[in-house]
Amino acid sequence: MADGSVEFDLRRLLSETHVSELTLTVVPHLSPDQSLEDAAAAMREVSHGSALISADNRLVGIITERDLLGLLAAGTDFCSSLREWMTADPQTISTNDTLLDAVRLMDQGGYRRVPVLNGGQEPAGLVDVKTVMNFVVDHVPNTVYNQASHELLTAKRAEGA
Amino acid sequence: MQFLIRNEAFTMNCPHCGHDNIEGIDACEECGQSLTGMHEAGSPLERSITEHAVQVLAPKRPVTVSAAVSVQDAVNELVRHRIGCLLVEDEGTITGIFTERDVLNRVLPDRAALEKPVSEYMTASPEMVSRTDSIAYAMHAMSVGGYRHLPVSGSDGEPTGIISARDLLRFLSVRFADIRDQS
Repeated sequence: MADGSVEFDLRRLLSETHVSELTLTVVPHLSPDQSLEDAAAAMREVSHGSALISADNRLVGIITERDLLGLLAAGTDFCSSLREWMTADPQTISTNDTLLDAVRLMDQGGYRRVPVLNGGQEPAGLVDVKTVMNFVVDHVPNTVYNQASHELLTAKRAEGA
Repeated sequence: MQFLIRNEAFTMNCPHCGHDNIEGIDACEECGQSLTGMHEAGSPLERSITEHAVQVLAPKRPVTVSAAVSVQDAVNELVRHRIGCLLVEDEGTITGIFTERDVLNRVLPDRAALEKPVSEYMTASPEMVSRTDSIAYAMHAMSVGGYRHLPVSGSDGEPTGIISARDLLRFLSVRFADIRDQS
Protein backbone atom coordinates (compact mmCIF):
# COMPACT_ATOMS: atom_id res chain seq x y z
CA MET A 1 0.00 0.00 0.00
CA ALA A 2 1.49 3.32 -1.03
CA ASP A 3 0.89 6.67 0.57
CA GLY A 4 -2.48 8.12 -0.29
CA SER A 5 -4.08 4.69 -0.32
CA VAL A 6 -7.82 4.70 0.10
CA GLU A 7 -8.75 4.77 3.75
CA PHE A 8 -10.89 2.05 5.14
CA ASP A 9 -14.36 3.54 5.47
CA LEU A 10 -16.76 1.20 7.22
CA ARG A 11 -19.91 3.09 6.37
CA ARG A 12 -19.06 3.16 2.70
CA LEU A 13 -18.10 -0.49 2.73
CA LEU A 14 -21.37 -1.48 4.42
CA SER A 15 -23.49 0.71 2.18
CA GLU A 16 -21.83 -0.52 -1.02
CA THR A 17 -22.01 -4.20 -0.19
CA HIS A 18 -25.24 -5.96 -1.07
CA VAL A 19 -26.52 -8.82 0.99
CA SER A 20 -26.32 -10.97 -2.16
CA GLU A 21 -22.50 -10.60 -2.10
CA LEU A 22 -22.17 -12.07 1.38
CA THR A 23 -21.69 -15.65 2.35
CA LEU A 24 -25.00 -16.10 4.11
CA THR A 25 -25.24 -18.32 7.12
CA VAL A 26 -26.80 -21.61 6.17
CA VAL A 27 -29.64 -22.45 8.51
CA PRO A 28 -32.05 -25.35 8.75
CA HIS A 29 -35.43 -24.98 7.08
CA LEU A 30 -38.36 -26.58 8.77
CA SER A 31 -42.11 -26.71 8.35
CA PRO A 32 -44.51 -25.31 10.96
CA ASP A 33 -45.75 -28.83 11.66
CA GLN A 34 -42.38 -30.07 12.82
CA SER A 35 -41.62 -30.22 16.52
CA LEU A 36 -39.38 -28.21 18.84
CA GLU A 37 -37.29 -31.36 19.18
CA ASP A 38 -36.83 -31.42 15.37
CA ALA A 39 -35.71 -27.79 15.44
CA ALA A 40 -33.14 -28.46 18.19
CA ALA A 41 -31.72 -31.45 16.32
CA ALA A 42 -31.54 -29.52 13.05
CA MET A 43 -29.72 -26.60 14.72
CA ARG A 44 -27.21 -28.94 16.33
CA GLU A 45 -26.50 -30.59 13.01
CA VAL A 46 -25.34 -27.33 11.43
CA SER A 47 -23.96 -25.74 14.65
CA HIS A 48 -26.15 -22.72 14.29
CA GLY A 49 -28.60 -21.30 16.81
CA SER A 50 -31.71 -20.70 14.72
CA ALA A 51 -33.98 -22.28 12.13
CA LEU A 52 -36.24 -20.71 9.54
CA ILE A 53 -39.75 -22.02 9.18
CA SER A 54 -41.44 -21.91 5.83
CA ALA A 55 -44.60 -23.16 4.19
CA ASP A 56 -45.10 -23.29 0.41
CA ASN A 57 -41.64 -21.73 -0.11
CA ARG A 58 -42.68 -18.74 1.92
CA LEU A 59 -41.02 -17.72 5.18
CA VAL A 60 -43.57 -17.87 7.99
CA GLY A 61 -41.43 -17.85 11.13
CA ILE A 62 -38.14 -18.24 12.95
CA ILE A 63 -37.15 -20.10 16.09
CA THR A 64 -33.88 -19.62 17.95
CA GLU A 65 -31.83 -21.41 20.59
CA ARG A 66 -32.85 -18.57 22.91
CA ASP A 67 -36.51 -19.53 22.41
CA LEU A 68 -35.66 -23.17 23.10
CA LEU A 69 -33.84 -22.19 26.29
CA GLY A 70 -36.90 -20.34 27.58
CA LEU A 71 -39.19 -23.19 26.61
CA LEU A 72 -36.92 -25.69 28.37
CA ALA A 73 -36.95 -23.59 31.55
CA ALA A 74 -40.74 -23.40 31.37
CA GLY A 75 -41.02 -27.17 31.05
CA THR A 76 -42.66 -27.04 27.62
CA ASP A 77 -43.30 -30.30 25.78
CA PHE A 78 -40.75 -30.42 22.94
CA CYS A 79 -43.08 -32.62 20.90
CA SER A 80 -45.30 -29.61 20.34
CA SER A 81 -45.24 -27.96 16.93
CA LEU A 82 -43.13 -25.03 15.85
CA ARG A 83 -46.29 -23.26 14.74
CA GLU A 84 -47.21 -22.80 18.40
CA TRP A 85 -43.87 -21.35 19.51
CA MET A 86 -42.10 -19.73 16.55
CA THR A 87 -41.87 -15.99 16.10
CA ALA A 88 -44.29 -15.55 13.21
CA ASP A 89 -43.56 -13.21 10.30
CA PRO A 90 -40.15 -11.95 11.47
CA GLN A 91 -38.59 -8.81 10.04
CA THR A 92 -36.54 -9.64 6.97
CA ILE A 93 -34.19 -8.09 4.46
CA SER A 94 -33.82 -8.83 0.79
CA THR A 95 -30.71 -9.92 -1.12
CA ASN A 96 -30.92 -6.51 -2.85
CA ASP A 97 -30.57 -4.63 0.44
CA THR A 98 -27.18 -3.46 1.64
CA LEU A 99 -25.20 -4.67 4.60
CA LEU A 100 -25.80 -1.26 6.17
CA ASP A 101 -29.57 -1.92 6.03
CA ALA A 102 -28.98 -5.27 7.74
CA VAL A 103 -26.78 -3.83 10.50
CA ARG A 104 -29.28 -1.03 11.12
CA LEU A 105 -32.18 -3.43 11.40
CA MET A 106 -30.20 -5.58 13.84
CA ASP A 107 -29.31 -2.51 15.92
CA GLN A 108 -32.84 -1.12 15.99
CA GLY A 109 -34.59 -4.39 16.70
CA GLY A 110 -31.91 -5.77 19.03
CA TYR A 111 -31.73 -8.82 16.75
CA ARG A 112 -28.73 -11.11 16.62
CA ARG A 113 -29.79 -12.30 13.17
CA VAL A 114 -32.05 -11.29 10.31
CA PRO A 115 -33.53 -13.68 7.72
CA VAL A 116 -32.80 -12.88 4.09
CA LEU A 117 -35.42 -13.30 1.39
CA ASN A 118 -34.51 -14.09 -2.16
CA GLY A 119 -36.40 -11.53 -4.23
CA GLY A 120 -39.88 -12.76 -3.32
CA GLN A 121 -40.82 -14.52 -0.10
CA GLU A 122 -38.41 -17.41 -0.36
CA PRO A 123 -35.79 -17.58 2.45
CA ALA A 124 -32.16 -17.56 1.27
CA GLY A 125 -30.42 -17.81 4.65
CA LEU A 126 -29.65 -15.17 7.19
CA VAL A 127 -27.25 -12.44 8.17
CA ASP A 128 -26.05 -12.67 11.75
CA VAL A 129 -23.57 -10.85 13.96
CA LYS A 130 -20.91 -13.37 13.01
CA THR A 131 -21.42 -12.78 9.27
CA VAL A 132 -20.91 -9.07 9.73
CA MET A 133 -17.95 -9.40 12.11
CA ASN A 134 -16.19 -11.85 9.79
CA PHE A 135 -16.82 -9.48 6.91
CA VAL A 136 -15.25 -6.57 8.82
CA VAL A 137 -12.32 -8.72 9.99
CA ASP A 138 -11.70 -9.78 6.38
CA HIS A 139 -11.46 -6.11 5.42
CA VAL A 140 -9.04 -5.06 8.15
CA PRO A 141 -7.09 -8.32 8.36
CA ASN A 142 -3.66 -6.89 9.17
CA THR A 143 -4.94 -4.85 12.04
CA VAL A 144 -6.92 -7.70 13.52
CA TYR A 145 -4.58 -10.59 12.87
CA ASN A 146 -1.37 -8.89 13.99
CA GLN A 147 -2.64 -8.74 17.52
CA ALA A 148 -0.93 -10.10 20.56
CA SER A 149 -2.30 -9.87 24.04
CA HIS A 150 -1.15 -6.93 26.08
CA GLU A 151 -0.36 -9.35 28.87
CA LEU A 152 1.79 -11.54 26.63
CA LEU A 153 3.69 -8.49 25.46
CA THR A 154 4.13 -7.27 28.99
CA ALA A 155 5.41 -10.69 30.02
CA LYS A 156 7.82 -10.70 27.09
CA ARG A 157 9.16 -7.33 28.17
CA ALA A 158 9.58 -8.48 31.73
CA GLU A 159 11.53 -11.56 30.65
CA GLY A 160 13.83 -9.47 28.52
CA ALA A 161 14.49 -7.03 31.33
CA MET B 1 2.18 -3.51 4.85
CA GLN B 2 2.95 -4.34 8.44
CA PHE B 3 0.96 -2.88 11.24
CA LEU B 4 2.16 -1.95 14.63
CA ILE B 5 0.89 -3.42 17.77
CA ARG B 6 0.32 -0.39 19.89
CA ASN B 7 -0.55 -1.15 23.41
CA GLU B 8 0.48 1.94 25.28
CA ALA B 9 0.94 5.56 24.50
CA PHE B 10 4.42 6.43 23.26
CA THR B 11 5.64 2.94 22.65
CA MET B 12 5.39 0.72 19.63
CA ASN B 13 6.27 -2.88 19.10
CA CYS B 14 8.50 -3.75 16.19
CA PRO B 15 6.51 -5.94 13.78
CA HIS B 16 9.70 -7.88 12.99
CA CYS B 17 11.01 -8.84 16.44
CA GLY B 18 8.43 -7.51 18.91
CA HIS B 19 10.86 -5.17 20.64
CA ASP B 20 9.18 -2.28 22.43
CA ASN B 21 10.50 0.93 20.93
CA ILE B 22 9.99 4.56 21.73
CA GLU B 23 7.35 5.91 19.36
CA GLY B 24 8.57 7.89 16.40
CA ILE B 25 12.02 6.38 15.88
CA ASP B 26 12.98 5.26 12.38
CA ALA B 27 14.49 1.85 13.03
CA CYS B 28 14.04 -0.83 15.65
CA GLU B 29 16.63 -0.55 18.42
CA GLU B 30 16.77 -4.31 18.72
CA CYS B 31 16.89 -5.68 15.18
CA GLY B 32 17.54 -2.55 13.13
CA GLN B 33 14.58 -3.07 10.77
CA SER B 34 12.99 0.08 9.41
CA LEU B 35 9.94 1.38 11.24
CA THR B 36 9.25 4.33 8.98
CA GLY B 37 5.81 4.74 7.50
CA MET B 38 4.29 2.78 10.33
CA HIS B 39 3.63 5.53 12.78
CA GLU B 40 0.18 6.41 11.50
CA ALA B 41 -0.76 3.15 9.84
CA GLY B 42 -4.37 2.57 8.93
CA SER B 43 -7.69 4.34 8.93
CA PRO B 44 -9.40 5.90 11.94
CA LEU B 45 -11.20 2.62 12.50
CA GLU B 46 -8.00 0.60 12.40
CA ARG B 47 -6.28 2.98 14.77
CA SER B 48 -9.26 2.99 17.06
CA ILE B 49 -9.48 -0.78 17.42
CA THR B 50 -5.75 -1.08 18.10
CA GLU B 51 -5.57 1.87 20.47
CA HIS B 52 -8.75 1.32 22.45
CA ALA B 53 -8.77 -1.33 25.11
CA VAL B 54 -11.61 -3.79 25.65
CA GLN B 55 -12.57 -1.70 28.69
CA VAL B 56 -14.04 0.91 26.34
CA LEU B 57 -16.82 -1.56 25.46
CA ALA B 58 -18.02 -1.35 29.08
CA PRO B 59 -18.04 -5.12 29.66
CA LYS B 60 -21.14 -6.31 31.50
CA ARG B 61 -20.71 -7.83 34.94
CA PRO B 62 -20.76 -11.60 34.62
CA VAL B 63 -23.38 -13.65 36.38
CA THR B 64 -21.61 -16.43 38.23
CA VAL B 65 -22.96 -19.71 39.58
CA SER B 66 -21.28 -22.31 41.74
CA ALA B 67 -19.98 -25.47 40.05
CA ALA B 68 -22.31 -27.52 42.22
CA VAL B 69 -25.62 -25.97 41.07
CA SER B 70 -27.79 -28.09 38.80
CA VAL B 71 -28.03 -27.55 35.08
CA GLN B 72 -31.72 -26.75 35.65
CA ASP B 73 -30.77 -23.89 37.99
CA ALA B 74 -28.17 -22.63 35.52
CA VAL B 75 -30.76 -22.66 32.72
CA ASN B 76 -33.16 -20.73 34.95
CA GLU B 77 -30.46 -18.14 35.65
CA LEU B 78 -29.83 -17.63 31.93
CA VAL B 79 -33.53 -17.03 31.40
CA ARG B 80 -34.02 -14.87 34.49
CA HIS B 81 -31.12 -12.54 33.68
CA ARG B 82 -31.84 -12.63 29.94
CA ILE B 83 -28.23 -13.46 29.19
CA GLY B 84 -26.46 -15.96 26.95
CA CYS B 85 -23.73 -17.17 29.27
CA LEU B 86 -22.82 -17.76 32.90
CA LEU B 87 -19.45 -18.15 34.53
CA VAL B 88 -18.98 -21.17 36.76
CA GLU B 89 -16.99 -20.77 39.94
CA ASP B 90 -15.41 -23.39 42.12
CA GLU B 91 -13.75 -22.47 45.44
CA GLY B 92 -13.29 -18.87 44.41
CA THR B 93 -11.86 -19.56 40.96
CA ILE B 94 -13.66 -19.35 37.63
CA THR B 95 -13.39 -22.78 36.10
CA GLY B 96 -15.77 -22.61 33.17
CA ILE B 97 -18.44 -20.94 31.09
CA PHE B 98 -21.96 -22.23 30.49
CA THR B 99 -23.78 -20.89 27.45
CA GLU B 100 -26.99 -21.20 25.47
CA ARG B 101 -25.01 -23.27 23.01
CA ASP B 102 -24.12 -25.80 25.70
CA VAL B 103 -27.85 -26.10 26.36
CA LEU B 104 -28.57 -26.73 22.68
CA ASN B 105 -25.71 -29.18 22.23
CA ARG B 106 -25.53 -31.06 25.49
CA VAL B 107 -28.68 -30.54 27.54
CA LEU B 108 -31.56 -30.67 25.07
CA PRO B 109 -30.53 -34.12 23.75
CA ASP B 110 -30.28 -35.48 27.30
CA ARG B 111 -32.87 -34.16 29.76
CA ALA B 112 -31.37 -36.17 32.60
CA ALA B 113 -28.64 -33.51 32.44
CA LEU B 114 -30.98 -31.03 34.13
CA GLU B 115 -30.45 -32.75 37.47
CA LYS B 116 -26.66 -32.92 37.21
CA PRO B 117 -24.08 -30.33 38.31
CA VAL B 118 -23.43 -27.57 35.79
CA SER B 119 -19.69 -28.29 36.00
CA GLU B 120 -20.28 -31.45 33.95
CA TYR B 121 -21.86 -29.49 31.11
CA MET B 122 -19.88 -26.27 31.05
CA THR B 123 -16.93 -25.50 28.80
CA ALA B 124 -13.88 -25.64 31.08
CA SER B 125 -11.06 -23.07 31.06
CA PRO B 126 -12.64 -20.60 28.65
CA GLU B 127 -10.46 -18.29 26.62
CA MET B 128 -10.32 -14.81 28.18
CA VAL B 129 -9.06 -11.39 27.22
CA SER B 130 -7.59 -8.84 29.57
CA ARG B 131 -9.41 -5.52 29.94
CA THR B 132 -6.20 -3.84 28.72
CA ASP B 133 -6.10 -5.87 25.50
CA SER B 134 -7.04 -3.97 22.37
CA ILE B 135 -10.44 -4.28 20.74
CA ALA B 136 -8.67 -5.65 17.67
CA TYR B 137 -7.26 -8.42 19.83
CA ALA B 138 -10.73 -9.30 21.12
CA MET B 139 -12.06 -9.36 17.55
CA HIS B 140 -9.24 -11.70 16.65
CA ALA B 141 -9.93 -14.02 19.58
CA MET B 142 -13.65 -14.20 18.76
CA SER B 143 -13.13 -14.62 15.06
CA VAL B 144 -10.54 -17.38 15.41
CA GLY B 145 -12.25 -19.19 18.28
CA GLY B 146 -15.78 -18.70 16.91
CA TYR B 147 -16.92 -17.46 20.32
CA ARG B 148 -19.90 -15.22 20.90
CA HIS B 149 -18.84 -14.28 24.42
CA LEU B 150 -15.46 -13.60 25.97
CA PRO B 151 -14.81 -13.13 29.69
CA VAL B 152 -12.71 -10.05 30.41
CA SER B 153 -10.17 -10.31 33.22
CA GLY B 154 -9.16 -7.54 35.56
CA SER B 155 -5.74 -6.85 37.04
CA ASP B 156 -5.74 -10.00 39.19
CA GLY B 157 -6.55 -12.23 36.21
CA GLU B 158 -10.05 -13.05 37.44
CA PRO B 159 -12.94 -12.27 35.10
CA THR B 160 -14.75 -9.04 35.94
CA GLY B 161 -16.76 -8.66 32.75
CA ILE B 162 -18.18 -10.27 29.62
CA ILE B 163 -18.15 -8.91 26.10
CA SER B 164 -20.18 -10.26 23.22
CA ALA B 165 -19.78 -10.18 19.47
CA ARG B 166 -22.78 -7.88 19.51
CA ASP B 167 -20.96 -5.38 21.75
CA LEU B 168 -18.10 -5.31 19.24
CA LEU B 169 -20.40 -4.88 16.27
CA ARG B 170 -22.26 -2.09 18.04
CA PHE B 171 -18.99 -0.30 18.83
CA LEU B 172 -17.86 -0.47 15.21
CA SER B 173 -21.15 0.30 13.53
CA VAL B 174 -22.21 3.17 15.78
CA ARG B 175 -18.79 4.84 15.85
CA PHE B 176 -17.66 4.23 12.31
CA ALA B 177 -20.72 3.65 10.18
CA ASP B 178 -23.14 6.11 11.81
CA ILE B 179 -25.84 3.51 11.63
CA ARG B 180 -28.08 5.50 13.92
CA ASP B 181 -27.94 8.45 11.57
CA GLN B 182 -30.83 7.99 9.15
CA SER B 183 -29.44 10.15 6.32
